[in-house]
Amino acid sequence: MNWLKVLFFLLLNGCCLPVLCAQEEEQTPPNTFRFSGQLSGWAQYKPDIQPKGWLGTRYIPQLNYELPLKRNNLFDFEISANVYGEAGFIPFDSLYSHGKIKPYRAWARYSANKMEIRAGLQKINFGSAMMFRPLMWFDSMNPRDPLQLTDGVWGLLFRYYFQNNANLWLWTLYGNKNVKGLEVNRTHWRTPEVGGRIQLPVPAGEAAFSYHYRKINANMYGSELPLQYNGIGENRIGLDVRLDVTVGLWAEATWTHLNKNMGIFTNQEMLTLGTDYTFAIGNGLGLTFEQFIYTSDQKAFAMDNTLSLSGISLSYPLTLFDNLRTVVYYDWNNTEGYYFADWQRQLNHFTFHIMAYWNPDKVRLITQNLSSNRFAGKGIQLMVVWNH
Amino acid sequence: MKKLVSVFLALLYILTANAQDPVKILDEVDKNLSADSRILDSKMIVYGKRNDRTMTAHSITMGDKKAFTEYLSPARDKGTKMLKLDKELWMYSPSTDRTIMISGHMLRQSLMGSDLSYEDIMEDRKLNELYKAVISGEETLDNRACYVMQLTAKVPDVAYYSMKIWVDKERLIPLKQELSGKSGQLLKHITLSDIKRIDNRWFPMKMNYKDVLKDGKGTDWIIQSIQFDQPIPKHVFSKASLKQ
Repeated sequence: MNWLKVLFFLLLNGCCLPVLCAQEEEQTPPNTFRFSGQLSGWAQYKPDIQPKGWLGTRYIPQLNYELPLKRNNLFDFEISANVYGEAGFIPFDSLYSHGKIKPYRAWARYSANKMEIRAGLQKINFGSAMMFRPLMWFDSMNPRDPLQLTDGVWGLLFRYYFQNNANLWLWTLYGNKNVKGLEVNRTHWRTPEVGGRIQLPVPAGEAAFSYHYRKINANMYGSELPLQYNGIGENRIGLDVRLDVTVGLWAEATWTHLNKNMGIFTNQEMLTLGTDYTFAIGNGLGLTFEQFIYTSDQKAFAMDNTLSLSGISLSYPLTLFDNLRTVVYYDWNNTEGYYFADWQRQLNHFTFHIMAYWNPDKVRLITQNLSSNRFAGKGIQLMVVWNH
Repeated sequence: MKKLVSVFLALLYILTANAQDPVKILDEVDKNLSADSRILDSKMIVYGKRNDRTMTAHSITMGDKKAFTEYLSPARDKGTKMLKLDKELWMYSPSTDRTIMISGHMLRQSLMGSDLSYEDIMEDRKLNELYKAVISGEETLDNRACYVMQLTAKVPDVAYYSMKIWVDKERLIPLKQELSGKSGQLLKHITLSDIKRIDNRWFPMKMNYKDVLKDGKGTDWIIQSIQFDQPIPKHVFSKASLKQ
């Protein structure tokens, strides 16, 4: 189905491109095509969870086309695919394999000096938090993933930038069957989602207000619910602030409200408070700390059902080419710790990672998507990344 | 005739004295190095013990407050953009498609793992505004006669508290700089070479930065092309430039 969308997208651009070219005969800079990509391979060993050994590879080929227009305007598009395969094996017993090819990005954009409008399969993300992101509405990036991969969403995004660095975002999403970001429920099929964001400069930083509306299917809550509960309105409000006052400080908060009484899921609130600083120790020790609180209840801000997580990340450049990073989460409700370390060596085209982790066997972090299960239990992972 | 010779000698004395006035020398150095605006393409080579890394970038700076840099290579960093407006710094990363405000303390950290800090590459503040200078001697460096000058910070928000610089007497351009912290500890040294005449000014097209606290042979910052005092559209120094 996604490939049909990509085909439609290409046909649409195929139709639009000659029209734009005809209109802009006086253009000066040449059109450019660029082919790039990222190939990665990894090996993972988990001593306590079967299969203990995993091997995998992923290739993300990417094609960009730019058509410069008059007055510094630009029409461009990007198309890329996520091609991956992995195999888990129990020595002398069994082999599990899995692979897929799926569209990764497929968007077209028209941009001018201060605005852009982008349509298609794209990544939309914003906010100030680094580890626990209440505003992770449309992406699912895992801060421990060195590749920072995330699926895109189908939609239309408009952004306008004011000279004082205020910026306005408006979006509509359509055709996204899977849950996005931290969503629990799927969007009601064939209803568009709409939203926007305004970010304003404030003394020593910036602050933003975000809003998103969609209709959801309530089947996820259990079979005892009547069918007419499909298509419940969901309103999301987000506030985030980032300040630079010798140390970096940020706050990110969201409130998700359902228009029908759905018990404890009627209102969900999330809050992250964070800070960072680089200490003048050796080559510079970077420290990031975040505290996250989640609560949900029939009444808004009741604070009865709460979850609390703390996260601390340290980053230290060992040499000009090597960096050591650690990420520790602590789940105060389940009294569980999640420990992760990544040594990275960066060369011109290759990046090497040696990762080690020690986590509970079942990942119960509300702020992470299912991909975090790859880091369940304890284990080590080696990764090589080649960018071209 | 005697009067004429006296006037000539007096003039010569004044000119010589002025030439050795550290403030005036620094002023001439600033005229060479600083500009209302700069547009440059550069290459940075980070030398390690066994390997090296090369990055290329396109940068636009205006005075000492505004700077924009876009990384053009390697493939992993291509499209990374940085915008500095006064003391605020934003970074756009194409891998996350996200613009993040970087805290000010990051400005003194290593840029992309090199011997340069964000501040080193993004600042164009005039030496005369930041430092008090004295001439501590004269030396010959690379067959060029140089003033050796000792600079001490006269403002608090300066990256390096003191500096020792070797200024080419003829071209009034530094050929070597030693940068130290308030404790007097040497932090970096810079060797400036490939001095070219561009638009009535002398400018070093190659600079080797060596962070003395790091291993390796330092980082070469090579200017591939540079334009001075060009008009820059307003929108370049806004977050609009950080879009993909």
